[in-house]
Amino acid sequence: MGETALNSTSANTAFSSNVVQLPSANAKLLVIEPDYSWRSATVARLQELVRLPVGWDGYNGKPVSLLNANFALRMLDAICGSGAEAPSIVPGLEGDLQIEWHTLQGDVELHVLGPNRVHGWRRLVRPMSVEDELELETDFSTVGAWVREITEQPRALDVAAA
Amino acid sequence: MPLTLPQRDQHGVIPHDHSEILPDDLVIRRVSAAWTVPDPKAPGGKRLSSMAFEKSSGTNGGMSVDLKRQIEEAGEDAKAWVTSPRWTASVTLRVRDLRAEGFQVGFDPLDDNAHHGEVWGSFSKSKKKKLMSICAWFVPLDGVSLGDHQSTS
Repeated sequence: MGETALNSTSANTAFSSNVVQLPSANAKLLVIEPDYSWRSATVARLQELVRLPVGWDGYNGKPVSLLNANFALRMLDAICGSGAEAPSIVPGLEGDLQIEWHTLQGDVELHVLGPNRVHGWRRLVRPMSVEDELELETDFSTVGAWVREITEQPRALDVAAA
Repeated sequence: MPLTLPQRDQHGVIPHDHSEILPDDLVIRRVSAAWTVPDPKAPGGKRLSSMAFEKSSGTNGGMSVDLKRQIEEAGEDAKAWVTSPRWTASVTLRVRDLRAEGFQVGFDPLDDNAHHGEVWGSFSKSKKKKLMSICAWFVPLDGVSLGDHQSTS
């Protein structure tokens, strides 16, 4: 018993210099999902699309890949603020997917071919007809502006009309 | 009259424009309800996504279709053929219109679909929108428009 106690004491002494101070209760590092209004419907839709059966399109279509679904959600977290309009999400044939917004002001479509491989397209119908396409990898600020332009403008117009 | 079988390589059927598929023939493209998106600009507020006109990946990848005249000449009902074994809606495209847009229309029989064809070409965003504008419902999705300014007929 005494020998055990002695060894335990020695061990504590030997390793005491390696003890790391744990963060206090005042220094929490939280891992949480953003609480955005569009997010729960979007997550549910992505879950639905990754569960599609092979051949869901009547030919040989594959379900949306988990990798692409996860990337799409991170991309939307970066693009969309808390009050953004929920997008439509449709599956591709090879595990890819497309995220779409359609309003009276125009259309934005983001084709997620893979993580950091996105083809963006937008068409403005008001106030003038404009069409753009671009390839996106890591910087999505332009498409964030596209989405805000077609989803937030109506409110501004409504206010102006009032 | 069965179509002449196409040439194959290690990637599958080689893209070709089959001379026995005639300009007036129709091809049928199956479309899933998963491709429906809300759009306030569309009659009824819903329309088909451009993703309905996507090609498969791979060296010889094209857009899958069913060859309507071949189905009917085999004594099958085309609507029944394209709604089984899995029910999907579908649209038709005129071969002449596809060729005018630069597409090739070929034959690619499969073990489970003897009347399977492929459409090869550029599936850019503008071409997909064009395909949307020249197709017509065959087995419609109720209340869903083709494009954002068209009827569902």
